[in-house]
Amino acid sequence: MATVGSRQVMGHTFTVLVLLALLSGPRSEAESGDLEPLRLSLVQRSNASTEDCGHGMAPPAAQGAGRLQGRPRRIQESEHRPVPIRTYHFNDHRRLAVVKAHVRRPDGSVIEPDLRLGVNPSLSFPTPFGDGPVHGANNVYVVEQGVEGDVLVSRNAKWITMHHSCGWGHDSKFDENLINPQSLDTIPFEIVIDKLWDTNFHAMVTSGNDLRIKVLSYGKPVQGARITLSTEKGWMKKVVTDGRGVASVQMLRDYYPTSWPKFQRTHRGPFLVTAQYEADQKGIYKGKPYKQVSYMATLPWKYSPSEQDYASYSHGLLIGVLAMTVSGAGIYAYRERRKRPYKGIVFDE
Amino acid sequence: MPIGSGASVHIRESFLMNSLQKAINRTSISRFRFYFQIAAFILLLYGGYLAINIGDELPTFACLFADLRGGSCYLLGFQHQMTAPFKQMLGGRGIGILVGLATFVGFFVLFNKTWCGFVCPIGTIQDWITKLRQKFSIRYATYSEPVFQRLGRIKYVLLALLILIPMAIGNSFFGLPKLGHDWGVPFCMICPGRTVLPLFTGDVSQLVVDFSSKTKMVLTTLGMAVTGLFFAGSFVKPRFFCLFCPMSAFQYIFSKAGLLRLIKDGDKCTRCGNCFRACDVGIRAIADDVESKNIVKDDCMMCFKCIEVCPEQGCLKVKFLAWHLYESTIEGFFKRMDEKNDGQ
Repeated sequence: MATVGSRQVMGHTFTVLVLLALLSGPRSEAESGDLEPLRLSLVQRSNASTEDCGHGMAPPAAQGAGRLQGRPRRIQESEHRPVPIRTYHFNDHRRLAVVKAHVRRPDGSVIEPDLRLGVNPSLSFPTPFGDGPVHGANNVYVVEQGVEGDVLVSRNAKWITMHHSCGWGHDSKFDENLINPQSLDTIPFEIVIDKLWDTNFHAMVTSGNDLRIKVLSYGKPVQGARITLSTEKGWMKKVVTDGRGVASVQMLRDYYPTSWPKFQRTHRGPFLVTAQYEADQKGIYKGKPYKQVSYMATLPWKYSPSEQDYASYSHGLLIGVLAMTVSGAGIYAYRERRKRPYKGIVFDE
Repeated sequence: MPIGSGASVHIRESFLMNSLQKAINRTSISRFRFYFQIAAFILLLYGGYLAINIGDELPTFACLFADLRGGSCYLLGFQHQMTAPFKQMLGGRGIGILVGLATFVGFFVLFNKTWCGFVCPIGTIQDWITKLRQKFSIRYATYSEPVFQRLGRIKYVLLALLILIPMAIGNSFFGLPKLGHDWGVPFCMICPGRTVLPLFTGDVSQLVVDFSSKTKMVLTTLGMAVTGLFFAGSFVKPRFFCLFCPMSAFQYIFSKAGLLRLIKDGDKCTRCGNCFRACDVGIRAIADDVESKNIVKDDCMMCFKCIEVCPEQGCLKVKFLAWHLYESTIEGFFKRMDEKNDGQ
């Protein structure tokens, strides 16, 4: 009886453990030897068929049917189509780590979004309409920290939500705090990239742009952080930050449609910037001692084809000058044609 | 207080007002307009550098393609709003459209077509080109009356197209397929304001032919051709582009409600034709029409040059509500003519 009872208890315990593992999160300390960076995205990662490419891009399954039948359309956030509530998903979180989320609003205030952990972790927060405190670039952060062995692993994911409608006006272009990217000095590890959007809140990164990437830890620049920029198609570039915590990367061109009619000027290719850094810092986190801190941060954004790929100054000027010359010559010829030779009236007896 | 002091104050005030009015009537409005245009040009093109934005529904070509402008032309926003499906226009989005239209009408009603004569940067550039031609002593061009009437209709066609084309983006007409978003702001694509005004802020990015789609290619090619025509035409014909301007046509719908008016007293008119000859646009009705009180026509830009050259006392006048702001006087006419002759 005792054996049967203990078997039942063991069976129940096993069931509870399995359920806990399934419900509480995809990872635990035991299986987290090689942690991926934490990433925020628009779509949830629910099963193997929607596995992304490993660079934080939208998975193929998330590319729902477009307006035209048979043409897939990427799920993308438009900076000019505001919605009242924003929801973002993140790929991963460790069960026993501390996970927190913050939203730095354009006016500088910080709110805590509604955070949902579990199988499909996500966060959501309200973005009310109008030219108010939310109008502009909202920085969304997920910070996950926990000790693994003797290493404090700090994984930080950032997403920039452009909340704008032209109907709310463009006076914000006169406020440099809204035009320039902002950081939050309570975030352990953060990526800040200059000139991601223009003064009208349009995403403005194009192929050929030099991206100035800054890495900060609690608001202070980090020297020697390893930065990887990877595109949708898997191209990547690795650089290391200098003494000012800054590194530069030129955006490559990897958008080559098979024929010119398929070319889309407004094509938005996603890219992901990842930063990593290990610091020999000792301390105690939530009662657990550590000897080293491993920082990871991600920031996704999008880029478009360069205007040089499709716009021609020489053609433009040629047509302008041609129109001016032809019309000028036409007017001159018309005037010349209407000139009549002087005819004096001679009295003829 | 001595008896009758109130009356003497009143007499003194009215004497001062009369003197001021006389002084104003003796001045050259063209000279005032020249400096006002420069100030308006600076405000509209560079106002953003001083964080000035007077509105996004202006009844003048303050081009949105010049990034740090001090105000924006209503036509771009209006075309953009017209891309909405009819259902949305009748819903919440319609309120936005009405608010935009009401703001535009409010701006316009206040100053009527002086937006064209005193504020419009494209008009100002044309006036500068005219001055350049005068320096070279090149003869200006005029249209015959039938040609003038025919060309004047083009602006209404452009106005209809700039409404209908964007509408065909969000709606299907007669079962035809909807147009692509590249047609979103068709008039802006061919407007010389888009290509010329950003040049004054050092931005040459609009001087291109865009090959990214067939629509863009056609529209930007047309835009550059119109820009070439704009310079050639403005050089020989004062205010060449204004005759085709759909903004002028749009404004004229609301012109009768304008608080600022150009009034003609037909009984005092001798039909000498000075006003017609001075008119940059070439409106014959200003001389021929002795019946209408409100003499503002669809092509009029309210530059008031006609008042300046009118030798008849009180024949032409500018009124804001009940106040007379400027009127033709014999004294003012001769003073201005003397100045002109002395200058030559």
